[in-house]
Amino acid sequence: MTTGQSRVARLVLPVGERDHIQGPPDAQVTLVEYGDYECPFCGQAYPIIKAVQEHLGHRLRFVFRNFPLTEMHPHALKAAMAAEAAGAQGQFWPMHDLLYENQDALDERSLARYAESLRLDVERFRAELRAETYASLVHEDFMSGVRSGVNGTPTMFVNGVRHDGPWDAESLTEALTATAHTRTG
Amino acid sequence: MVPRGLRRHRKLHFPLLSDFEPKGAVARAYGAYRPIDGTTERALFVIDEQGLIYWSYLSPVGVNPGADGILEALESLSKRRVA
Repeated sequence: MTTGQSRVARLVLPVGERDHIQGPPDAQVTLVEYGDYECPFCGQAYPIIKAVQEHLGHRLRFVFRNFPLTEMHPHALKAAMAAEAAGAQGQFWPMHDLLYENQDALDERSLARYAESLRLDVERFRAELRAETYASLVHEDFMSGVRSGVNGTPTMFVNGVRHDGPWDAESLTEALTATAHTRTG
Repeated sequence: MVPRGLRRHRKLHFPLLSDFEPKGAVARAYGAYRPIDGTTERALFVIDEQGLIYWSYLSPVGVNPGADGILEALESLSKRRVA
């Protein structure tokens, strides 16, 4: 067995144009989360990441990619497509937040309600959900995750390396700050 | 051989081996048994059509290794078959 060789799981798809990004492009550290809107652990991570973002400010860039566990979570795929549909109308992050703040109500009627509350073009939103316009985008996210060693949700990558440690606010901040320091030398 | 309940519960689409009686016999044959804990290692094996181990990986017990290594191994295996 290849016991000596230690594999480091790395992000295979670099952060780019296709991504949903918060924070400056020249941030010292980039946190990529692969998440599922119906997954309770991702729900726990949601306020933690907000706190970490607040704490690190412009030093941090945050990227969210979809990793819906459709076998376990019947609403996860629709919710992911809803966030993308909102994104097509310039409202990805507000929808992202609404989904995580309402994880127990991700049925189609609720999704349409969130779209309304964000003053989206609801007709377009509904039509794109029905047509699964963003299914391939979500699938692309998912496969990039599988290829990068995503092993559950949420899985986080710090400057492209899978973060296998705990992700409570303190541990995550510590990991991110340590990486930021390495980069600035 | 197949713990159906577990399989259904975790929604797996492939058979699982319980490796129960004699306990851990298969894991031992792969060198992946942990006698002190009475459990197995987090070890991955890709076996080719001749039944030979083509690729293997031992993950720390606390770390789920993910599927990326398996996919890479399968791809390089199918390339070998073509060549």
